Amino acid sequence: MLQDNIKILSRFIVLVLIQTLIFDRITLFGFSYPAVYLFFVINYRFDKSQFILIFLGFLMGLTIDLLQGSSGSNSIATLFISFLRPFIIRFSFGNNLDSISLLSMNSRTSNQIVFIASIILVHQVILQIVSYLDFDHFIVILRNIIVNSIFTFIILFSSVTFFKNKN
Amino acid sequence: MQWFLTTLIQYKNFLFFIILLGIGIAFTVAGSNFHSTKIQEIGVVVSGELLKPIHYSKSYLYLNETNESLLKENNHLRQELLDYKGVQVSTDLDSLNPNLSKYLVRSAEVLRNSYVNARNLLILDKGANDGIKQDMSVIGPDGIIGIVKQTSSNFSSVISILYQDFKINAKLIHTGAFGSLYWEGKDPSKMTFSDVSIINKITKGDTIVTGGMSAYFPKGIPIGIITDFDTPTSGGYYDIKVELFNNLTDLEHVYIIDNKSRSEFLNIQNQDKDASR
Repeated sequence: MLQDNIKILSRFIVLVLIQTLIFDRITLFGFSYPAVYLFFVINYRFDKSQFILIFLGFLMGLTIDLLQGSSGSNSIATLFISFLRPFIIRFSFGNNLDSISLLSMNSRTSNQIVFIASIILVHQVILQIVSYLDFDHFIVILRNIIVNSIFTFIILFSSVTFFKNKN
Repeated sequence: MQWFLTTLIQYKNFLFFIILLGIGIAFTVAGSNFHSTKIQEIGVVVSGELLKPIHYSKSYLYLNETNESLLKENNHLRQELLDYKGVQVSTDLDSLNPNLSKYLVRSAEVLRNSYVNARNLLILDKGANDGIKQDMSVIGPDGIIGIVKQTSSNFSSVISILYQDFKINAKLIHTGAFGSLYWEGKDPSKMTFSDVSIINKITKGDTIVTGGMSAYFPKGIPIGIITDFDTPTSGGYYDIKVELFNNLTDLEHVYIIDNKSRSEFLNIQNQDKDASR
Protein backbone atom coordinates (compact mmCIF):
# COMPACT_ATOMS: atom_id res chain seq x y z
CA MET A 1 0.00 0.00 0.00
CA LEU A 2 2.66 2.46 1.08
CA GLN A 3 4.83 1.38 -1.79
CA ASP A 4 1.99 2.07 -4.21
CA ASN A 5 1.54 5.55 -2.86
CA ILE A 6 5.22 6.32 -3.14
CA LYS A 7 5.14 5.03 -6.69
CA ILE A 8 2.20 7.30 -7.54
CA LEU A 9 3.87 10.28 -5.91
CA SER A 10 7.19 9.77 -7.64
CA ARG A 11 5.45 9.27 -10.98
CA PHE A 12 3.58 12.52 -10.37
CA ILE A 13 6.76 14.48 -9.73
CA VAL A 14 8.71 12.90 -12.58
CA LEU A 15 5.91 13.58 -15.08
CA VAL A 16 5.59 17.21 -13.99
CA LEU A 17 9.32 17.67 -14.40
CA ILE A 18 9.42 15.94 -17.77
CA GLN A 19 6.49 17.98 -19.01
CA THR A 20 7.76 21.37 -17.93
CA LEU A 21 11.47 20.88 -18.48
CA ILE A 22 11.45 18.94 -21.73
CA PHE A 23 8.17 18.81 -23.58
CA ASP A 24 7.09 22.41 -23.04
CA ARG A 25 10.23 23.43 -24.90
CA ILE A 26 9.51 21.23 -27.90
CA THR A 27 7.13 23.25 -29.99
CA LEU A 28 6.16 21.42 -33.14
CA PHE A 29 5.32 23.81 -36.01
CA GLY A 30 5.76 26.64 -33.57
CA PHE A 31 2.53 26.15 -31.68
CA SER A 32 2.05 22.56 -30.63
CA TYR A 33 3.39 20.84 -27.55
CA PRO A 34 2.42 17.39 -26.29
CA ALA A 35 0.71 16.89 -22.94
CA VAL A 36 2.74 13.92 -21.71
CA TYR A 37 1.55 14.40 -18.14
CA LEU A 38 -1.61 12.60 -19.21
CA PHE A 39 0.43 9.43 -18.80
CA PHE A 40 -0.37 9.78 -15.10
CA VAL A 41 -4.13 9.60 -15.71
CA ILE A 42 -3.77 6.80 -18.26
CA ASN A 43 -1.48 4.73 -16.09
CA TYR A 44 -3.35 5.21 -12.80
CA ARG A 45 -4.43 1.78 -11.59
CA PHE A 46 -8.04 0.89 -12.32
CA ASP A 47 -8.71 -0.47 -8.82
CA LYS A 48 -7.47 2.64 -6.99
CA SER A 49 -9.80 5.29 -5.61
CA GLN A 50 -11.18 7.68 -8.17
CA PHE A 51 -11.61 10.30 -5.48
CA ILE A 52 -7.86 10.54 -5.10
CA LEU A 53 -7.35 10.55 -8.86
CA ILE A 54 -9.66 13.56 -9.19
CA PHE A 55 -7.64 15.39 -6.58
CA LEU A 56 -4.27 14.38 -8.03
CA GLY A 57 -5.40 15.20 -11.57
CA PHE A 58 -6.45 18.66 -10.47
CA LEU A 59 -3.19 19.12 -8.58
CA MET A 60 -1.23 17.95 -11.60
CA GLY A 61 -2.98 20.43 -13.89
CA LEU A 62 -2.54 23.20 -11.36
CA THR A 63 1.18 22.54 -11.04
CA ILE A 64 1.57 22.54 -14.81
CA ASP A 65 -0.44 25.76 -14.99
CA LEU A 66 1.71 27.46 -12.41
CA LEU A 67 4.93 26.33 -14.07
CA GLN A 68 3.74 27.20 -17.58
CA GLY A 69 2.24 30.50 -16.50
CA SER A 70 -1.04 29.60 -18.19
CA SER A 71 -4.23 30.48 -16.42
CA GLY A 72 -6.10 27.45 -15.13
CA SER A 73 -6.86 25.71 -18.42
CA ASN A 74 -4.68 22.67 -17.71
CA SER A 75 -6.21 22.17 -14.27
CA ILE A 76 -9.75 22.29 -15.63
CA ALA A 77 -8.95 19.92 -18.51
CA THR A 78 -7.08 17.40 -16.32
CA LEU A 79 -9.81 17.59 -13.70
CA PHE A 80 -12.42 16.78 -16.33
CA ILE A 81 -10.44 13.87 -17.68
CA SER A 82 -9.88 12.39 -14.19
CA PHE A 83 -13.60 12.62 -13.54
CA LEU A 84 -14.59 11.14 -16.89
CA ARG A 85 -12.04 8.33 -16.82
CA PRO A 86 -14.38 5.56 -15.52
CA PHE A 87 -16.81 6.32 -18.35
CA ILE A 88 -14.00 6.20 -20.89
CA ILE A 89 -12.75 2.92 -19.42
CA ARG A 90 -16.22 1.39 -19.75
CA PHE A 91 -16.54 2.83 -23.25
CA SER A 92 -13.27 1.37 -24.49
CA PHE A 93 -12.93 -1.93 -22.59
CA GLY A 94 -16.48 -2.83 -21.64
CA ASN A 95 -17.38 -3.88 -18.12
CA ASN A 96 -14.93 -6.72 -17.72
CA LEU A 97 -11.39 -5.60 -17.18
CA ASP A 98 -8.77 -8.33 -17.31
CA SER A 99 -6.21 -6.38 -15.35
CA ILE A 100 -5.78 -3.59 -12.84
CA SER A 101 -3.33 -1.62 -14.92
CA LEU A 102 -3.02 -0.69 -18.54
CA LEU A 103 0.58 -1.85 -18.63
CA SER A 104 -0.21 -5.44 -17.67
CA MET A 105 -3.28 -5.70 -19.83
CA ASN A 106 -3.95 -8.34 -22.45
CA SER A 107 -6.93 -6.65 -24.11
CA ARG A 108 -6.83 -6.09 -27.81
CA THR A 109 -4.53 -3.30 -28.92
CA SER A 110 -7.43 -1.57 -30.65
CA ASN A 111 -9.24 -1.21 -27.30
CA GLN A 112 -6.18 0.27 -25.72
CA ILE A 113 -5.75 2.68 -28.62
CA VAL A 114 -9.37 3.78 -28.22
CA PHE A 115 -8.78 4.31 -24.49
CA ILE A 116 -5.64 6.39 -24.88
CA ALA A 117 -6.92 8.32 -27.89
CA SER A 118 -10.23 9.25 -26.28
CA ILE A 119 -8.55 10.44 -23.08
CA ILE A 120 -6.16 12.61 -25.10
CA LEU A 121 -8.89 13.93 -27.36
CA VAL A 122 -11.27 14.90 -24.53
CA HIS A 123 -8.40 16.52 -22.67
CA GLN A 124 -7.28 18.54 -25.68
CA VAL A 125 -10.81 19.63 -26.58
CA ILE A 126 -11.42 21.00 -23.08
CA LEU A 127 -7.92 22.46 -22.79
CA GLN A 128 -8.13 24.39 -26.05
CA ILE A 129 -11.70 25.57 -25.55
CA VAL A 130 -10.97 26.84 -22.05
CA SER A 131 -7.75 28.55 -23.03
CA TYR A 132 -9.25 30.32 -26.05
CA LEU A 133 -12.87 30.66 -24.89
CA ASP A 134 -13.74 32.43 -28.10
CA PHE A 135 -15.36 30.85 -31.11
CA ASP A 136 -13.93 33.45 -33.43
CA HIS A 137 -10.78 31.39 -33.13
CA PHE A 138 -12.52 28.17 -34.11
CA ILE A 139 -9.96 27.25 -36.79
CA VAL A 140 -7.05 27.80 -34.41
CA ILE A 141 -8.74 25.73 -31.71
CA LEU A 142 -9.44 22.92 -34.16
CA ARG A 143 -5.90 22.99 -35.50
CA ASN A 144 -4.41 22.88 -32.01
CA ILE A 145 -6.70 20.03 -30.97
CA ILE A 146 -5.82 17.90 -33.98
CA VAL A 147 -2.07 18.50 -34.03
CA ASN A 148 -1.62 18.30 -30.26
CA SER A 149 -3.70 15.13 -30.03
CA ILE A 150 -1.75 13.35 -32.74
CA PHE A 151 1.57 14.46 -31.29
CA THR A 152 0.59 13.48 -27.73
CA PHE A 153 -0.85 10.17 -28.89
CA ILE A 154 2.36 9.16 -30.66
CA ILE A 155 4.45 9.85 -27.58
CA LEU A 156 2.06 8.29 -25.05
CA PHE A 157 1.30 5.19 -27.09
CA SER A 158 4.95 4.51 -27.77
CA SER A 159 5.84 4.96 -24.09
CA VAL A 160 3.00 2.63 -23.04
CA THR A 161 4.27 0.02 -25.49
CA PHE A 162 7.81 0.56 -24.27
CA PHE A 163 6.93 0.06 -20.60
CA LYS A 164 4.76 -2.91 -21.45
CA ASN A 165 7.63 -4.68 -23.19
CA LYS A 166 9.88 -3.97 -20.25
CA ASN A 167 7.40 -5.62 -17.92
CA MET B 1 -30.12 12.61 7.73
CA GLN B 2 -29.09 9.05 6.96
CA TRP B 3 -30.37 9.48 3.45
CA PHE B 4 -28.47 12.73 3.08
CA LEU B 5 -25.19 11.16 4.19
CA THR B 6 -25.68 8.17 1.92
CA THR B 7 -26.29 10.43 -1.08
CA LEU B 8 -23.29 12.51 -0.12
CA ILE B 9 -21.05 9.45 -0.04
CA GLN B 10 -22.57 8.00 -3.18
CA TYR B 11 -21.93 11.13 -5.19
CA LYS B 12 -18.75 12.17 -3.46
CA ASN B 13 -16.69 11.98 -6.64
CA PHE B 14 -19.07 14.20 -8.52
CA LEU B 15 -19.33 16.73 -5.68
CA PHE B 16 -15.57 16.81 -5.31
CA PHE B 17 -15.26 17.30 -9.05
CA ILE B 18 -17.68 20.23 -8.96
CA ILE B 19 -15.85 21.85 -6.05
CA LEU B 20 -12.47 21.54 -7.75
CA LEU B 21 -13.97 22.76 -11.02
CA GLY B 22 -15.14 25.86 -9.19
CA ILE B 23 -11.66 26.40 -7.78
CA GLY B 24 -10.18 25.89 -11.25
CA ILE B 25 -12.54 28.43 -12.80
CA ALA B 26 -11.75 30.86 -10.00
CA PHE B 27 -8.04 30.45 -10.74
CA THR B 28 -8.63 30.99 -14.42
CA VAL B 29 -10.66 34.12 -13.82
CA ALA B 30 -8.18 35.52 -11.32
CA GLY B 31 -5.21 34.74 -13.52
CA SER B 32 -6.37 36.15 -16.80
CA ASN B 33 -8.13 39.38 -17.59
CA PHE B 34 -9.46 37.95 -20.82
CA HIS B 35 -11.14 35.05 -19.06
CA SER B 36 -12.71 37.24 -16.40
CA THR B 37 -14.13 39.53 -19.09
CA LYS B 38 -15.55 36.55 -20.94
CA ILE B 39 -17.13 35.09 -17.81
CA GLN B 40 -18.66 38.44 -16.92
CA GLU B 41 -20.02 38.69 -20.43
CA ILE B 42 -21.72 35.32 -19.98
CA GLY B 43 -23.19 36.67 -16.74
CA VAL B 44 -24.55 39.73 -18.52
CA VAL B 45 -26.14 37.61 -21.26
CA VAL B 46 -27.70 35.15 -18.82
CA SER B 47 -29.18 37.76 -16.51
CA GLY B 48 -30.28 39.84 -19.48
CA GLU B 49 -32.15 36.96 -21.07
CA LEU B 50 -33.69 36.02 -17.74
CA LEU B 51 -34.79 39.52 -16.84
CA LYS B 52 -36.11 40.57 -20.23
CA PRO B 53 -39.54 38.86 -20.01
CA ILE B 54 -39.96 39.91 -16.37
CA HIS B 55 -39.11 43.48 -17.21
CA TYR B 56 -41.42 43.69 -20.20
CA SER B 57 -44.38 42.23 -18.36
CA LYS B 58 -43.74 44.55 -15.44
CA SER B 59 -43.32 47.63 -17.57
CA TYR B 60 -46.75 46.99 -19.04
CA LEU B 61 -48.26 47.70 -15.63
CA TYR B 62 -46.58 51.08 -15.39
CA LEU B 63 -47.42 52.31 -18.88
CA ASN B 64 -49.38 55.27 -17.57
CA GLU B 65 -46.63 56.59 -15.34
CA THR B 66 -44.03 56.00 -18.02
CA ASN B 67 -46.05 57.82 -20.63
CA GLU B 68 -46.55 60.72 -18.32
CA SER B 69 -42.88 61.07 -17.52
CA LEU B 70 -41.92 60.74 -21.17
CA LEU B 71 -44.44 63.42 -22.10
CA LYS B 72 -43.03 65.70 -19.46
CA GLU B 73 -39.55 65.15 -20.77
CA ASN B 74 -40.68 65.69 -24.33
CA ASN B 75 -42.26 68.95 -23.27
CA HIS B 76 -39.08 70.06 -21.65
CA LEU B 77 -37.00 69.15 -24.67
CA ARG B 78 -39.36 70.97 -27.00
CA GLN B 79 -39.07 74.02 -24.83
CA GLU B 80 -35.31 73.77 -24.98
CA LEU B 81 -35.36 73.32 -28.74
CA LEU B 82 -37.49 76.42 -29.14
CA ASP B 83 -35.15 78.43 -26.95
CA TYR B 84 -32.25 77.14 -28.94
CA LYS B 85 -33.85 78.03 -32.26
CA GLY B 86 -34.56 81.49 -30.98
CA VAL B 87 -30.88 82.06 -30.32
CA GLN B 88 -29.72 80.78 -33.66
CA VAL B 89 -29.33 83.18 -36.54
CA SER B 90 -29.25 80.82 -39.47
CA THR B 91 -32.20 78.55 -39.96
CA ASP B 92 -30.54 75.77 -41.91
CA LEU B 93 -30.75 72.23 -40.57
CA ASP B 94 -27.03 71.74 -40.19
CA SER B 95 -27.26 72.02 -36.44
CA LEU B 96 -29.59 69.04 -36.34
CA ASN B 97 -27.50 66.93 -38.65
CA PRO B 98 -26.34 63.96 -36.56
CA ASN B 99 -23.05 63.78 -38.44
CA LEU B 100 -22.09 67.21 -37.29
CA SER B 101 -22.97 66.90 -33.64
CA LYS B 102 -20.34 65.65 -31.29
CA TYR B 103 -22.56 63.24 -29.39
CA LEU B 104 -24.91 60.52 -30.50
CA VAL B 105 -27.78 59.58 -28.21
CA ARG B 106 -29.41 56.17 -28.09
CA SER B 107 -32.24 55.13 -25.81
CA ALA B 108 -32.35 51.91 -23.84
CA GLU B 109 -34.44 50.21 -21.21
CA VAL B 110 -33.20 49.13 -17.81
CA LEU B 111 -33.59 45.40 -17.31
CA ARG B 112 -32.05 45.26 -13.87
CA ASN B 113 -31.41 48.09 -11.52
CA SER B 114 -29.60 47.84 -8.20
CA TYR B 115 -28.88 50.45 -5.56
CA VAL B 116 -28.46 48.52 -2.31
CA ASN B 117 -24.96 47.10 -2.82
CA ALA B 118 -21.69 48.89 -2.31
CA ARG B 119 -20.98 48.51 -6.02
CA ASN B 120 -24.06 48.64 -8.15
CA LEU B 121 -24.44 47.53 -11.74
CA LEU B 122 -27.32 48.01 -14.14
CA ILE B 123 -28.22 45.86 -17.10
CA LEU B 124 -29.62 47.45 -20.24
CA ASP B 125 -31.39 45.84 -23.19
CA LYS B 126 -29.07 47.28 -25.82
CA GLY B 127 -25.69 45.82 -26.72
CA ALA B 128 -22.87 45.80 -29.21
CA ASN B 129 -25.31 45.08 -32.06
CA ASP B 130 -26.97 48.43 -31.34
CA GLY B 131 -23.64 50.21 -31.42
CA ILE B 132 -23.08 50.35 -27.68
CA LYS B 133 -19.43 50.26 -26.68
CA GLN B 134 -17.49 50.13 -23.46
CA ASP B 135 -16.99 53.43 -21.59
CA MET B 136 -19.97 55.22 -23.12
CA SER B 137 -21.86 57.37 -20.65
CA VAL B 138 -25.44 56.69 -19.57
CA ILE B 139 -27.83 59.44 -18.48
CA GLY B 140 -31.41 59.44 -17.32
CA PRO B 141 -34.18 61.99 -17.79
CA ASP B 142 -32.89 64.11 -14.90
CA GLY B 143 -29.19 63.49 -14.74
CA ILE B 144 -26.30 61.10 -14.96
CA ILE B 145 -26.56 57.38 -14.28
CA GLY B 146 -23.29 55.66 -15.08
CA ILE B 147 -20.81 54.32 -17.58
CA VAL B 148 -21.06 51.24 -19.78
CA LYS B 149 -18.80 48.59 -18.33
CA GLN B 150 -19.27 45.72 -20.68
CA THR B 151 -21.31 44.77 -23.71
CA SER B 152 -22.51 41.50 -25.15
CA SER B 153 -24.24 41.39 -28.52
CA ASN B 154 -27.69 42.26 -27.11
CA PHE B 155 -27.11 43.49 -23.57
CA SER B 156 -24.78 45.73 -21.69
CA SER B 157 -23.86 46.27 -18.07
CA VAL B 158 -23.45 49.73 -16.63
CA ILE B 159 -21.45 50.89 -13.62
CA SER B 160 -23.89 53.02 -11.67
CA ILE B 161 -22.70 56.28 -10.13
CA LEU B 162 -23.70 54.53 -6.91
CA TYR B 163 -20.43 52.60 -7.04
CA GLN B 164 -17.83 53.02 -4.36
CA ASP B 165 -14.33 54.05 -5.56
CA PHE B 166 -15.87 55.58 -8.67
CA LYS B 167 -15.26 59.31 -8.96
CA ILE B 168 -16.93 61.66 -11.38
CA ASN B 169 -15.61 65.00 -12.47
CA ALA B 170 -18.20 67.68 -11.64
CA LYS B 171 -18.41 71.42 -11.21
CA LEU B 172 -20.54 74.09 -9.60
CA ILE B 173 -22.75 75.75 -12.15
CA HIS B 174 -22.30 79.27 -10.71
CA THR B 175 -18.61 79.56 -9.98
CA GLY B 176 -17.35 76.83 -12.27
CA ALA B 177 -15.26 75.34 -9.46
CA PHE B 178 -14.27 71.75 -10.19
CA GLY B 179 -14.32 68.83 -7.83
CA SER B 180 -14.97 65.15 -7.76
CA LEU B 181 -18.20 63.46 -6.87
CA TYR B 182 -18.45 60.07 -5.24
CA TRP B 183 -20.90 57.88 -3.37
CA GLU B 184 -20.38 56.97 0.25
CA GLY B 185 -22.55 53.92 0.01
CA LYS B 186 -25.53 54.71 2.21
CA ASP B 187 -28.38 56.62 0.66
CA PRO B 188 -29.02 56.17 -3.08
CA SER B 189 -30.14 59.79 -3.38
CA LYS B 190 -27.11 61.41 -1.74
CA MET B 191 -23.54 61.76 -2.88
CA THR B 192 -20.46 63.61 -1.66
CA PHE B 193 -18.75 66.37 -3.60
CA SER B 194 -15.14 66.79 -2.59
CA ASP B 195 -11.91 68.50 -3.62
CA VAL B 196 -13.55 71.92 -3.93
CA SER B 197 -11.17 74.55 -2.59
CA ILE B 198 -12.51 76.89 0.11
CA ILE B 199 -11.54 79.93 -1.93
CA ASN B 200 -14.77 79.28 -3.86
CA LYS B 201 -17.95 80.57 -2.31
CA ILE B 202 -20.78 78.07 -2.14
CA THR B 203 -24.30 78.21 -0.78
CA LYS B 204 -26.95 75.65 -0.07
CA GLY B 205 -29.07 75.00 -3.11
CA ASP B 206 -26.30 75.49 -5.66
CA THR B 207 -26.57 73.21 -8.66
CA ILE B 208 -23.83 70.79 -9.62
CA VAL B 209 -23.30 69.66 -13.21
CA THR B 210 -20.82 67.39 -14.94
CA GLY B 211 -17.47 69.04 -15.54
CA GLY B 212 -16.63 67.57 -18.93
CA MET B 213 -12.99 67.14 -17.95
CA SER B 214 -12.98 63.45 -18.84
CA ALA B 215 -13.95 61.62 -21.98
CA TYR B 216 -16.98 60.10 -20.27
CA PHE B 217 -19.77 62.57 -19.63
CA PRO B 218 -20.51 65.58 -21.79
CA LYS B 219 -20.23 68.95 -20.10
CA GLY B 220 -23.13 70.43 -18.23
CA ILE B 221 -25.43 67.52 -17.51
CA PRO B 222 -27.25 68.29 -14.22
CA ILE B 223 -26.39 66.10 -11.25
CA GLY B 224 -27.92 67.54 -8.09
CA ILE B 225 -28.09 70.36 -5.57
CA ILE B 226 -26.05 71.10 -2.48
CA THR B 227 -27.99 70.27 0.67
CA ASP B 228 -25.29 70.71 3.26
CA PHE B 229 -21.61 71.55 3.53
CA ASP B 230 -18.88 71.75 6.12
CA THR B 231 -16.13 74.32 6.17
CA PRO B 232 -13.19 72.38 7.48
CA THR B 233 -10.82 73.87 10.04
CA SER B 234 -7.85 72.48 8.14
CA GLY B 235 -7.20 71.06 4.75
CA GLY B 236 -8.65 73.78 2.59
CA TYR B 237 -11.35 71.72 0.90
CA TYR B 238 -15.08 71.70 1.47
CA ASP B 239 -16.98 68.59 2.42
CA ILE B 240 -20.22 68.93 0.48
CA LYS B 241 -23.33 66.79 0.56
CA VAL B 242 -25.30 66.61 -2.66
CA GLU B 243 -28.84 65.49 -3.29
CA LEU B 244 -29.26 63.92 -6.71
CA PHE B 245 -31.90 65.07 -9.20
CA ASN B 246 -32.23 61.62 -10.64
CA ASN B 247 -34.14 59.02 -8.69
CA LEU B 248 -31.82 56.09 -9.21
CA THR B 249 -34.13 53.68 -7.48
CA ASP B 250 -36.77 54.05 -10.14
CA LEU B 251 -35.24 53.82 -13.59
CA GLU B 252 -37.05 52.72 -16.69
CA HIS B 253 -35.69 54.52 -19.73
CA VAL B 254 -32.16 55.76 -20.05
CA TYR B 255 -30.07 57.35 -22.78
CA ILE B 256 -26.64 56.19 -23.83
CA ILE B 257 -24.37 58.93 -25.09
CA ASP B 258 -21.69 58.17 -27.60
CA ASN B 259 -18.94 60.75 -27.54
CA LYS B 260 -17.77 60.57 -31.12
CA SER B 261 -14.56 62.43 -30.47
CA ARG B 262 -13.66 60.24 -27.53
CA SER B 263 -10.82 58.45 -29.30
CA GLU B 264 -9.42 61.79 -30.36
CA PHE B 265 -9.63 63.01 -26.78
CA LEU B 266 -7.81 59.94 -25.48
CA ASN B 267 -5.13 60.31 -28.14
CA ILE B 268 -4.45 63.87 -27.07
CA GLN B 269 -4.39 62.78 -23.45
CA ASN B 270 -1.86 60.05 -24.21
CA GLN B 271 0.31 62.39 -26.22
CA ASP B 272 0.21 64.75 -23.31
CA LYS B 273 1.34 62.00 -20.98
CA ASP B 274 4.19 61.05 -23.31
CA ALA B 275 5.30 64.64 -23.56
CA SER B 276 5.42 65.18 -19.83
CA ARG B 277 7.46 62.08 -19.28
